[in-house]
Amino acid sequence: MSVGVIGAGSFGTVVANLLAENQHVYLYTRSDDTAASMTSSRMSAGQQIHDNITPTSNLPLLAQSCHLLFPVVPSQGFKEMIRALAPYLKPDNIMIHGTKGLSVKKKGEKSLSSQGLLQREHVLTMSELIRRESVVVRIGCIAGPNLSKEMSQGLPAAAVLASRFDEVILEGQKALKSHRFQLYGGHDILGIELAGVLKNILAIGSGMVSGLDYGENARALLITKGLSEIIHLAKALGADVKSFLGLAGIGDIIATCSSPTSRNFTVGYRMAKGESIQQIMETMEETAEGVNTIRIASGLARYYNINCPIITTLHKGIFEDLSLEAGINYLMNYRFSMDVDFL
Amino acid sequence: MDESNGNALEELFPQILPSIDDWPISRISKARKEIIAEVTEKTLQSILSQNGEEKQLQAVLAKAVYMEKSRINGKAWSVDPKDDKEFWGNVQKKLVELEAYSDGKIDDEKEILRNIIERYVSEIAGHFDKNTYRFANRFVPFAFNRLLNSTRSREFVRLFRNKKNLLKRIHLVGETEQVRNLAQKGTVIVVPTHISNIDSITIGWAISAIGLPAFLYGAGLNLFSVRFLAYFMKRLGAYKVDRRKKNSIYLETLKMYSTVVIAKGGHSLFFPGGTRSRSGELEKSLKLGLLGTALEAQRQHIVGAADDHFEKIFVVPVTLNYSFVIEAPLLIDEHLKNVGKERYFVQADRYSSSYKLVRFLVKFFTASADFTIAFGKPMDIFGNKVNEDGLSLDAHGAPIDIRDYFKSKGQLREDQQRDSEYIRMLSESIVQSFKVNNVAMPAHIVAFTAFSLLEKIHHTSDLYSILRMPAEFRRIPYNQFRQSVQQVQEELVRLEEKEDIRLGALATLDSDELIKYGTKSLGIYHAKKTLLIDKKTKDIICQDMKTLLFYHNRLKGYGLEKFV
Repeated sequence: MSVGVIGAGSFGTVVANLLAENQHVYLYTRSDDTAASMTSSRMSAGQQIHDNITPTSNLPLLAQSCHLLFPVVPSQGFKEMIRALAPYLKPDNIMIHGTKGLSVKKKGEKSLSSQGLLQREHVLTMSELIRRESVVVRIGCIAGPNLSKEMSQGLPAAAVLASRFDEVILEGQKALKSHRFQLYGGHDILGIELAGVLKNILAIGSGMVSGLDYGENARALLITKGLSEIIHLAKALGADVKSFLGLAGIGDIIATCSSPTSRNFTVGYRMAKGESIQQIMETMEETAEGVNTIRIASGLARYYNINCPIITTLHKGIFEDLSLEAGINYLMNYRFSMDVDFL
Repeated sequence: MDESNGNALEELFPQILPSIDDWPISRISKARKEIIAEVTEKTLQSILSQNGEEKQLQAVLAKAVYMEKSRINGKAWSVDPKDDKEFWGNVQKKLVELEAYSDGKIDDEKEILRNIIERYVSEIAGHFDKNTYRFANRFVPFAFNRLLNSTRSREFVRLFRNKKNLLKRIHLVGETEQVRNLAQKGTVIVVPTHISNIDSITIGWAISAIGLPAFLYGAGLNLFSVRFLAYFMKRLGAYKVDRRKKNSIYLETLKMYSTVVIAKGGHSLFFPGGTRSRSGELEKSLKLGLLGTALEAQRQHIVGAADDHFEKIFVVPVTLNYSFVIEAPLLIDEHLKNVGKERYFVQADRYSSSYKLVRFLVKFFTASADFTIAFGKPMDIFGNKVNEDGLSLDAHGAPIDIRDYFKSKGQLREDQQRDSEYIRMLSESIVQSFKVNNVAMPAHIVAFTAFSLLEKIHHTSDLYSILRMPAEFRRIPYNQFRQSVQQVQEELVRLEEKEDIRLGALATLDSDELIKYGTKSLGIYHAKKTLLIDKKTKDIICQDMKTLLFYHNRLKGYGLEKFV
């Protein structure tokens, strides 16, 4: 039986190559042309693809040949993808996603733009989006320090696969079994998803610190205090703190906040070097989820009255013309009450 | 529903099965002996499948003996069998012998286990007597009809001169037609919210009023100690649930009984919250045990199907609301003290005599309490909505073959962990349905607004400091109160448009009228009236913060406090 990967971006290709070590893989891309050129060149997102991979742009074929599917598409395109796929899906399908973004419901989009406030019910994680738009219930999420570039070079890495269903964890681990990739199982899917999503905020901030040459002390300060903010936010959204202290939280933060190969880090870095957010977004090849995440996180923090000075300042710096220096100055004079208050 | 006449509802909904002998509950009652045998055998097999070794089985038995002996040493209930002590003493004696001469075989342990299970099932299994049903069915609607037709005070008659239907005290709303329809196509599990002891009667009446046959219902064994109640319950198909018995053998037997009767097509009723809501809030988390039996019955229908046809089980959440919950002061006290359940069940046997119970009922039915019964959209056992043919539909209206839920890679496969997740999903769907079918009544609106406003005026959200506030702080100027009530009403209308809540018939009254009516009907017969309007200043005065909190809580979770 084949497994399917939806989305042939850099991480999607990494996942497909890992899976191909154990079974035949369909790698789905929306465009017929891309699928054709991938087939002839055996390349995807700059990576060589394994012999066991068949590129395809045929969604029904994908759903009918695979019980196990790995959607790895940007959060902005996720809803459209799952809606197109939904008619072919059944309740015994398994979906394990690797998307580090959130989706805002239509009702919420209005309230986000008018008042900037956002409630929990307006925000969907990707697993919640799958539940809402399809009959699939056996849903999992993979998150962890998985920089695509390193993984495509075959370097060792690890991640967490979270699902409420043991079957999803076991099937996922079986399919992804590899000597260069360790996969831990867990049940706290919301925590793992939010850890993966919210850490991108810190990656952008960390890129700014590098761009401004503020040094490693400042980075450590940003990450530590920022972690506390995202934990408080995640708690308000109903998640458990524990997942933030594992691979999907701290693990991923360490990797992305110190790596110039991270997209979100790059966004912050380039902003610090003087580019506007529009310029950066237009010239990036793949989506930096963190930008949208900052907007959503800041809307949530305001609705739930959660004190998030770092997120708020980043939001102002990116969307409201606050200069980065003024932002840093504000934060340095901000009176944080306690060092650790989330445990 | 014809709103212009105040006739009894049952005339509008003919019984779907005119002959009581055709009712599932009658069939099940007639087959009582066979069912006891079946449940005994299946429970035995189920326990053995997990505890097949001699040592394991002995441990299960020893644990049950220990728990039962400590129950027997506590205060006995009048329903407890006289030979309880002797029975468990014998079990213990035999068990000690078997443990001493362990032989690697489990025949003797199995026999003891079978005896225990059989004793339990015989206690649990209910009877159904159609003559008693007919009598109760005439008596109960009599009381309800009084509410349906009762006239209000002259003042309100004047107020609603042209809206006669608003004079009704009882409102039955929601998907009644579809529930009737599905009860003829499959097995229906009704799961109501639970806030008052009166709920069993209310929901029992509602089921009969919409023309459905009587439902099987697990009633607390403590209720059977009241002779008056026991007489009816024993004959109305109620089966007995003893919450003191928490040993694994009893729990397995109880679940098996429920599974077997649902699988035999017995429409059933559970209060999925397990106990009355102490805080007055809608249930936010449910007890999964009995819901699991409905899922298991559905699974058995699918696994046992010879062809593509299989029986289907439908779940119908029902939200019950009252402007007056007689036990509100007691419940909220318990909530605040955070008393453990265990202690509660022993102590709060408040209706321990028939006299007290009758007085309770008379008080309830003569009080001018408004109440609403809202039937939510029926769903399948996975929480999917269903169409009029009982077909499960996905979010986009496409049909779902629910057999796939029990499959892995296209093949039916047993997986208890998976099924326990399904039960959790179902309970989330039920909780969501409770929320959107909650009916905002004037009493709740004024209570919610008054409590939230006091929090706002005194800048505190510390519950205990609000509850202890002295009398002079518990006043709200009328105009301020009116404005907030109006804003809350407006938001409620918006929420109703989005189908996030239901509005009671009177919730859209002009705010002045709503305040007048709401404060009057709110907890109408409590010793201390919860809210009063000061005759001179027209200030809103709160006389009892605790009951105010209780009724306020019913509208918690909709973000309404932002509009106060």
